[in-house]
Amino acid sequence: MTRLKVEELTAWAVAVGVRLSPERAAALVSEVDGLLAFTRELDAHVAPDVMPATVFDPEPANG
Amino acid sequence: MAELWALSATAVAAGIAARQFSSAEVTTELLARIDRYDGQLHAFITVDPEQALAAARRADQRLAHIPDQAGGPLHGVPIAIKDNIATRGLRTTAGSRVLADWIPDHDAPVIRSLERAGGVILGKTNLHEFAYGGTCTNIEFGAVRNPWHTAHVPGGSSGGSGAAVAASLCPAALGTDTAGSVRLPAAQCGVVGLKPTYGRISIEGVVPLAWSLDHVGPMARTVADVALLYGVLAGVPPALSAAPELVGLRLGVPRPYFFDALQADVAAAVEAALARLSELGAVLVETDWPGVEVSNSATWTIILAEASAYHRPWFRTRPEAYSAETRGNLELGEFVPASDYVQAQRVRSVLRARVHELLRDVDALVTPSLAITAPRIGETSVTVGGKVKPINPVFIRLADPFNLTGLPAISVPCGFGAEGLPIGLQIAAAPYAEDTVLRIAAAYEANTDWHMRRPALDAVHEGRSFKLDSSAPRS
Repeated sequence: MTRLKVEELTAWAVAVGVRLSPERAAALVSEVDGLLAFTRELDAHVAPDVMPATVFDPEPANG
Repeated sequence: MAELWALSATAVAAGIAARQFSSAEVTTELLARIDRYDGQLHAFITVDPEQALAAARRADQRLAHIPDQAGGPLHGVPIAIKDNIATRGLRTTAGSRVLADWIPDHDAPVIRSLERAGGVILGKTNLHEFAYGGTCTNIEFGAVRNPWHTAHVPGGSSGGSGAAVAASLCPAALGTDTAGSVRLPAAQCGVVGLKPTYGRISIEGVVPLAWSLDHVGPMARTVADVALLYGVLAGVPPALSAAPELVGLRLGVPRPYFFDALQADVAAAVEAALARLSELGAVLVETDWPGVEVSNSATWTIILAEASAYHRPWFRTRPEAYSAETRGNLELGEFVPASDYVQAQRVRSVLRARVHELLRDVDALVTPSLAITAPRIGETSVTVGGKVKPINPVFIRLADPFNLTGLPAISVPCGFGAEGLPIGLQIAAAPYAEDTVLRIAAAYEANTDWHMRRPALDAVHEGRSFKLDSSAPRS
């Protein structure tokens, strides 16, 4: 997998309004790469017909 | 009679109902203990002695008006509340500088339930900042210390509640559990903690960590006390007999994953507990929960995404108000792809289906609550199975499958490790089968004495320095 670049991460952080110091951005690149590797293992566990375990109730909670 | 502060919640309720002593007397003794010991333990963030004593006196007055009758099931019983649960008129910080001055104008429904049952709110307990971690090394309100060994953490994130109950600063407390945060401090502090079925107890009014995984649960020194609080919170008292039987009950022991890489003293204690359950008539069934090893990834993905969504307004405007640890987690959560969040929720469906399949063959699952005993304060990694690992994933590894699948799960004391630190046994069952979980835990507890041991505490005389009203009238 292509590694995320610090500039890309910083641009994303600016776009979503998160303030990052240059030092923190550099550290966060590794953490995000680790996270993405970590979440890839989820893919192997779900067959195409599996629905997410999220619930939507069309009736508002307070009636 | 034992000192009032040492009594269980059940015994306090019974004593008050029988007019043997008053709620004000019990509350006064507990406030004195908090004053004496909490300067060292940091189990509480906020205690308002006047407010607590006023509530206790109101409970006593109500009882005086109904001679020959008992009050509610918790009438006059002092209870501590994790400080991420909103309490009207009582500061609720969630363990963070972000909410350091928040005094809610409303009670969470769980607080209303406790008060309707006659409970007295004793104070608000310390936690890992915003419940986002398992050590309770809180930089704003002090690191919570484990009463069994004050150089060690109490576990978390409900570590203040665990420490307060273990140190007999309160008979019972509420915690919240997103990935083990009731059961893990219960295990590490040698007390009982129940995470009910997801949705069984309202989480309204709780400062969320991750809505789809958050639960409120009771903590106490005995299973009967946890059952008492659970009955009040759920609105249905559990059917728990005085001498619960295990004969013929089938208990699944999922060795792959749950028994991998345990600390040696934890493994020995849990094996001894399994042997005890077998002696009591339970049938142990070796089993396997396929795919459970991905639970940790799915849980962490969901927490990162949901927590960053919740904190977005504050995090955009006051990032400096968060600890470096929480801030780092919230930053990371901004980079979870939406598709990964959905994949995690799909994994959840898969694991739920598989554990339901398992539970067709057994009545409950029995596992260690966590693989280690409480680490030292300041440690960020631990050695498990010969490998050095970060603390938080190790903490939640055996607990989070039950948050992800929403099953009720309890931790009960099952021994002590090499350093005299407590060890917990986890029992989980099908959705809404809290009665089964409590029955097994109660039967085990009735045939062991782990829950009767108490930590030796050193007073810290520069403690909290309340001005206590010692003139509470004795009945």
